[in-house]
Amino acid sequence: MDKDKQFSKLSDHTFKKGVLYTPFNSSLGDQLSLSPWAIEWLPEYLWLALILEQYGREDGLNVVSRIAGELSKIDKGLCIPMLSKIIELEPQKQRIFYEVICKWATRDVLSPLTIIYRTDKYALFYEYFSDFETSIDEKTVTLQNVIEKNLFHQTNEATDIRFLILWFNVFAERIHFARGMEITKALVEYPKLSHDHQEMRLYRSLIRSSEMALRFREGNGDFPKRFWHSLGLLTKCRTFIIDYGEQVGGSVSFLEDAVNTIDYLMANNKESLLTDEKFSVCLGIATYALKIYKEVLESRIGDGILGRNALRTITEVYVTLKYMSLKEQDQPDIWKAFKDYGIGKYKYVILKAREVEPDLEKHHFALPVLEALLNEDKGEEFTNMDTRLFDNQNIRKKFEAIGENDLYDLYYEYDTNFTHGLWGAIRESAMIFCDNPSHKYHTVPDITFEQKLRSVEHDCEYVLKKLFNQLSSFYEFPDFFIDKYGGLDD
Amino acid sequence: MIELKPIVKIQKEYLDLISKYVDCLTDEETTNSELAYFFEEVSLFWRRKHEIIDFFLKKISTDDKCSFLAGAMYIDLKNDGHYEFAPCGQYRIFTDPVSKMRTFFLTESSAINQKRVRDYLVKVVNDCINVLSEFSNYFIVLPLDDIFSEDQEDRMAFLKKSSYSFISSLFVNPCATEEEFIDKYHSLKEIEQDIRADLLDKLILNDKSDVSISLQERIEKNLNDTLSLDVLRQRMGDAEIFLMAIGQFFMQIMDIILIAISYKLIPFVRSDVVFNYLLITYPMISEDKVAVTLLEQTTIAYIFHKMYGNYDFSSLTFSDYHSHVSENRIIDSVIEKSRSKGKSVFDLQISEIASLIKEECSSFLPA
Repeated sequence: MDKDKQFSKLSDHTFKKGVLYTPFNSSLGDQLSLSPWAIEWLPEYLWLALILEQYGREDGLNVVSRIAGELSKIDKGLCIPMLSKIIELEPQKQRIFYEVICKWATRDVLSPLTIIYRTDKYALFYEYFSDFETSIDEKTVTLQNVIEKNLFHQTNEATDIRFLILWFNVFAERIHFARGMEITKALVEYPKLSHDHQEMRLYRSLIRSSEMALRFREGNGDFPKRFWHSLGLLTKCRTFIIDYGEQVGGSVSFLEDAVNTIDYLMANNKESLLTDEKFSVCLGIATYALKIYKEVLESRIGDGILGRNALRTITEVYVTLKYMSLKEQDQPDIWKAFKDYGIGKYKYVILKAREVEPDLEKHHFALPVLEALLNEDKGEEFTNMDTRLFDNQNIRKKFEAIGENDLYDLYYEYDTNFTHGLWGAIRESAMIFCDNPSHKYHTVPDITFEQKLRSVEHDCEYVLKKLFNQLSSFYEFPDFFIDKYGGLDD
Repeated sequence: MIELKPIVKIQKEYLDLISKYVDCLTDEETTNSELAYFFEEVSLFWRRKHEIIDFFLKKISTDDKCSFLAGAMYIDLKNDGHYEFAPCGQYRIFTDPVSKMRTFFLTESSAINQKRVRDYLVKVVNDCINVLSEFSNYFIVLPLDDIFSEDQEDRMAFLKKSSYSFISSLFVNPCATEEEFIDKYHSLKEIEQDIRADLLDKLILNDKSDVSISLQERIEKNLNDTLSLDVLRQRMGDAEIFLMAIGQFFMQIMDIILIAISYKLIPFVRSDVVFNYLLITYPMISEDKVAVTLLEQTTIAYIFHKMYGNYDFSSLTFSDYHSHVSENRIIDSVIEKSRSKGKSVFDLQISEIASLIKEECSSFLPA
């Protein structure tokens, strides 16, 4: 994580009616209307960006300064930087505007825009700036390069454009800055200094905040939307697959050692295996978690979505095991209650199935087997369906009670996104970043299934070790396991 | 898998687009800038549809029996080109002629006969409009050339390289590189003398009558449509002119094969010259099963065209005719019959194939 960046901590957020508000949004609330530079404003000023791109910063600022200066001399009302306003000018004024541009810059500079602004609606613009010497591909590439440099509102290039916007308004006398003000000094010094100059850090932020203030006065309707739509359709997506490289995997030897340990526990506690509910539940939970882990390793799904579901379940069964051991003192029959709760859940499904009568040939559950399980310990007529698990405590409280807050926040909470198919998980696993600036960095479905996730194998093993550590507090573990894994909690 | 719905919609939109420009194209006052705008509009139109066209083409399988008009600029309704094309494939694509013609207008060369090219453009655009207006259920227009635009440079380099390997194989003492070739030869006569005797007759540029004229005459005759040899000689030597004149055919054939294999499309060839070069290059791709499957069908369709190219279809409406030849049934039937003889189409004599075709068509195309 970039430690230099200042992010709000979780504790800085305010909880209101089920939402954790950022400090920024919390103080401004509904009054804040975000106006993204890239989406709503960049299309207006791309013509300025193209001039700067063509001539470089120093000469480019000079060229635009001459254009703005001459326009303001002709008619202050003409001195406007927004393309949507320029193309709305009456034809005669538009011609004057374009003549001035062509006087100081070559007409091919703005030709990339003619693949967007065609003769149907922008005939005059097209007339002045069309250039058939340059191919559509070349025009597209130029536009993409310029957009890439200016898409983020705080880049040096974007700040240059924002400076020019202020300049146009100063030339047109739409805004005035008093002598002695920092912004006045900034406007004078900005074009003379390179971006490396230390004063520029202050000037850039002054320029940006002043330009942003102007935006509240302007409205540009659908113009930017139409621009992005037109350009977006002309260019292809460039999917960007994140490669996580070599990762720390799980070990088959741990799995084998854990299986041998269960084997040992069964052999060494034969009597408990036959009669003891707790022993049955503990070994059942451990084996269930191991089977999941084995599936993760064998099916190589550690870097897939199911791997995260696997880790979440392993984490949850570990917490259940530890929570039951914590509650055992107050509720000695908790192990039996756990089994009853689970069988009760099965009963509910079985009763529903009998009502619905699904096609059992195709359905994924085996009703006769389920019925046998329901009636295993006692007849189903005597089995209640308890909708509460233990003391009806929510899962987060259980993590807290056993001192595993971090496990909740970093494992369970994160992986639950994948189990429930929430957008964060969908975005991370099934949608790929498109590296095409003219698509505004949207995402595209990963239908080639190339994007992998960071593997859960190491974390599965980490939680399993915790689970086995808990188990070792109940039953005597074999020496080979203790010698090898010792303090499992670490 | 063929998913036609969006393609049908595109056909209508494209018809609307080019129809708007008919007056502009036919007007002699139309400037080159106005023409360039037209080409730009067409190019932008196809770019906007690129994803869905790419999807359509990528999902085609050889079982879909989809064909494309290869080596021709337009269907040519006036000369019953649609009757000739119809037996080839269940779905028939022709490359957008406007996209193909764009290259002629990109060249600023004064050697190009602009008037002829513009007249030709009007002709192909009108043909395309008529196909899309009257026969949109049977033919699909797509920019097959442009669809490779992402790797256009690589594609051109590949075509150029493979084209030169073919050309050098025509010579008794082949030159390793183009540069070496250009240094070595200074006249078309020298070149002609060094070409292997058995292959000289196969270097057809116009039609079969080429075999009776010299290489220079063949090239002159071929260039005269658009360029003048004298003007060209001011800019390049005879070796370069030869490479350009012959290379275009090999490049065209490689392009056809590339499109066919990439998209599993059956090339429908009706030009003798193009088919001739296809035969010359066939040994190189005869190991590729997909290519062989597709070219087997190309061959039958070509022979059908040779048999019925001059047939008077006037007594048969196109829809009636189509009901007889649709679904690739003539070609499939000939292939099936050749298989029953334990042979591939390429093992049969042309007369045998012709006889099988006649057997299939005699009921609705009486002699």
